[in-house]
Amino acid sequence: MASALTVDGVSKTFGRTTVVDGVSFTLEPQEILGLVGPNGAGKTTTIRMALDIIHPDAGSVALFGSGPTRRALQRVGYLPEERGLYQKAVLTDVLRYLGRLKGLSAKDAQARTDAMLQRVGLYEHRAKKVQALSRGMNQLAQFASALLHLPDLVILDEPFSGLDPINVQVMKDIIHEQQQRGAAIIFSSHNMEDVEEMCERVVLVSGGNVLLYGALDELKRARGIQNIRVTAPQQPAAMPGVSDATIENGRFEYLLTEGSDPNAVLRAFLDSGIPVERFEVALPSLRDMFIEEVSRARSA
Amino acid sequence: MRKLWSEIQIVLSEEFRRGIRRKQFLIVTFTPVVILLVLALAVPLARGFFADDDQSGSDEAGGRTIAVVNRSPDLSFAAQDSGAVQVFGDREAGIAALQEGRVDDLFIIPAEYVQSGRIEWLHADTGLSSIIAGDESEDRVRALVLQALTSADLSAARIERLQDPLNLTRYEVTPAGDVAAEEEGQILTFFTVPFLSAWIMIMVIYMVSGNLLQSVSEEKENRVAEVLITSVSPLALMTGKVLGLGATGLVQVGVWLVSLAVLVPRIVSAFPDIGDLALAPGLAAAIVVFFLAGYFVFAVVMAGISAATVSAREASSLSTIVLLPALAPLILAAFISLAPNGVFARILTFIPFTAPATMMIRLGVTDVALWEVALSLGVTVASGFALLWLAARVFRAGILTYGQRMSLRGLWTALRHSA
Repeated sequence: MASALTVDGVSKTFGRTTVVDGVSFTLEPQEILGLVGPNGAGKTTTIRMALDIIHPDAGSVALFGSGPTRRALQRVGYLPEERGLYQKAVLTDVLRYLGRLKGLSAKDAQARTDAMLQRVGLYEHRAKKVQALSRGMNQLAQFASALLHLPDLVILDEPFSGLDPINVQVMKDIIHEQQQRGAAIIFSSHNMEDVEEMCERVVLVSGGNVLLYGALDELKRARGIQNIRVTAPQQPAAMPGVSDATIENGRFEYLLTEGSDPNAVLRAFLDSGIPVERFEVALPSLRDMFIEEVSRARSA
Repeated sequence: MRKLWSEIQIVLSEEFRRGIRRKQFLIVTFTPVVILLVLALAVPLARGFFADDDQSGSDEAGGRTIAVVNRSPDLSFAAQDSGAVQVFGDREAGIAALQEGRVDDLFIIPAEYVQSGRIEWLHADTGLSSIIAGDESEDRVRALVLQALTSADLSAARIERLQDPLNLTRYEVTPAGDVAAEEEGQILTFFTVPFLSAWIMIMVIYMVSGNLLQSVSEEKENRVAEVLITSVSPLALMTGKVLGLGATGLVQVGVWLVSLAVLVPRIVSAFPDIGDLALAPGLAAAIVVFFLAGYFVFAVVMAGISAATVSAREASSLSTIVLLPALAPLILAAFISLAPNGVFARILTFIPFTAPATMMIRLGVTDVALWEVALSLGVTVASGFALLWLAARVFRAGILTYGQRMSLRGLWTALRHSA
């Protein structure tokens, strides 16, 4: 089966500024890929090139194994970061229209609109004008509109921004449902915890370049740096092989230097006669990797 | 191509549906209809009211009874058989008859009438009715005096001719030597109808362009455009918008025309002196075709402007400037009409922005060679399609320049980037 999306060495320059420089990644069916990066990293431009909104100066994009044709784009659902709907139109009319533009018949568009509005909890508001809905409701409505036509590729740019935790959970559940259905999903976010929770693989982009790309778990292991979390009443005076330590609610978290043995930390506690309630070896978080990689790239 | 048309249809029907639901559309469309309806009811009623009022003091002949007191030695009046004109020997008797309601109008002709032409007109009517009702009496006393002046030896037909001696019929001699009579009111109609059609075209363009500007700007401002462009081609989107919102404008014109056709004859029938406004079918067809072509060109230009600007307000200001060429033929209509086949009129005929209105006016006042009509129409329609293609590109480019005014250089850059 062809990849849902293949971005191969795409670059884009506006004026004298290179916004995207040789970005490559692939997205397989039924996969959720995290697209992360600081502001101005080139994520949105990359997404726009993937959707043929703008054409790359170099490199290529393939949707479902071929160029980004209109037929291929009909299989894509897109929730842009800067979003909005027709404010003076009735909610159900807007969604039905957007569904029809994605190739649904009038009848199917209406049926899917009703189903999606029910799924996101907006069915009771279907006859209201969009401008009468809250910001969060607007966001849910647009999220629903992106999924009306059961797309094979879903691109979500900051889908949770501004949403309350309940609606975030609703969206997360729906995203997983889409994945179960077989859709490939690009999940772009600044919230590393969300990306870590939702995605198997990530692409970290900064300054238009890919800094990290691959399976999240492998990326973490490949770094060779581990976090040690110890729950104990106090910590030893000296701690071997630790580069950074944080204390939070009686829990000590240590970042080990490369090649250090986690058991040396445990031994230090025991040798000092400090009872250990809990000892945990953890991989570095995506947040840690993000900060480290972006900081390194910026200082280079 | 089939896919493109399918996309156009979806956008078209949505824009049309939204367009005709706008309050502004309903108000602008139906206010003139309501005004016409009121006029259609009120005018005949008003005429009837005054006519009834006239008859309140009338005699058995059904008109107003007039009376004459003649002191001029140069005239002689005999009482009419019908009794509708009475002759009194002195002023007091006439006034008494007026007061008693036996006569409606009393005309006192003084001794020196032939020298001065002065006649006193006494009546008991008040207000506006005295002016309206008096027209008939004035005509009749004029006929009486005319008859008296001409020694009463002229027939009624001759007197009528004396009063209205000219009934001219114009004939046009063509270069081929054919002599064709012009119908009554033809000149007025042939100039007025195309001229008015051109005005209506501009008015509708103004109204529809406002909706177009609002529609495109809204999509840019609220970023729906970015989603739309992944669902539908910019060309289909622009075409659908132009046709959909254009259709709302045509519905508007259609409602007006139907109401005019139904209601105006009723209003006009109260004024029998107004000429016939019938149009030659060929001219009517040409007006419709050029109306649609002009409408298409300007609607497309409006769509392009809104795609290139930041907000609906900015687009609106710019569109006013761009619409000036459409007004030029109307402002210069007198010059075009005086020399409809002159160089100036011909040049305007082949410029897409001035062609529709110019051709409407020219066709109204003269015969235009068929090739000129075809070329003018071809240039206009072809320009419309070219501009539509450009508007679609600008729309796509405009998405990338969100929040920034698009300079010509920026437009060119954006067009290249969107390519």
